[in-house]
Amino acid sequence: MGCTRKKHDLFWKVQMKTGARHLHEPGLFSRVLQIDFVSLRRVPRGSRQHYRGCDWIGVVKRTTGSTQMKAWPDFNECGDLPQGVHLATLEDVFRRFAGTPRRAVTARRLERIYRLALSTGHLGRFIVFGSFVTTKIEPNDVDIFLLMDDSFDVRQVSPEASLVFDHAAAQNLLGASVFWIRRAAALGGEEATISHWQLKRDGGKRGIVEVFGHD
Amino acid sequence: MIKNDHELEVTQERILHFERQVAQIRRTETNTENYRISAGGLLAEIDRMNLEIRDYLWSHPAERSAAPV
Repeated sequence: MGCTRKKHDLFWKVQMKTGARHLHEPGLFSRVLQIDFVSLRRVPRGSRQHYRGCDWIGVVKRTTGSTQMKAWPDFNECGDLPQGVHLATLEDVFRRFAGTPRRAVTARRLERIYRLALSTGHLGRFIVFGSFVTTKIEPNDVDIFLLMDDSFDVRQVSPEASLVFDHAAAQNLLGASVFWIRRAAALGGEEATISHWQLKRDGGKRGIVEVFGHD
Repeated sequence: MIKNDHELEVTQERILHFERQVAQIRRTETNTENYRISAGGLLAEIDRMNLEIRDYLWSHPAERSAAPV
């Protein structure tokens, strides 16, 4: 399932290598775009891996045409997304996974947690895994893994946002199972750490979702 | 719930991975409160998986095969 956006209607984050004339964010846009920048900044050296080796990151507001979001892949015979980390906006997650009243409730919880994590100003990557991103009709809750910037200090966040980072409080008060670490603690590197959350009980792997749309 | 010996092994490997991750946080985290809260979630998951292993190992294979589906 994908969505087509007309020009001017949204701000997009894009990445580029130095000297590129056109920008292409693999997995997010289906084709090369010509855009106007709202802002442009250099990716810190330590964050290059996160931005897939790109040198610059920019926010854009205009394209020369419509932008086709990456379509969601089909679920496999086990009801899972194919292996991999699937980039999606929160809106796309709602479209794909909030199809029943129970799931809609869970999706609203997810959105609240995303907003709270974002409010800290130190959210690195927001990963959704577990039964919510499968075809299971009534998942118990939503499982989330947060990779926070190294400058994140849990003592500095608001009381409400602090619930996200306390596993038991998040479970009891936000309806989610939340795990988090700072980037520096990623075992085997950022990608390996995130990839681990694909592991299933039987040793197989299933796809997980990275919510995209923040710096 | 763990259903067979293969899932038992996978769960044991997951526990080992989580323990290594917590040890890594312990090495890199300079902020005590960050450490406690970050590690807390992973330690809770280790506890949950250990309980699953205990429940599985408590029963004899003959009991499991005789249990109603």
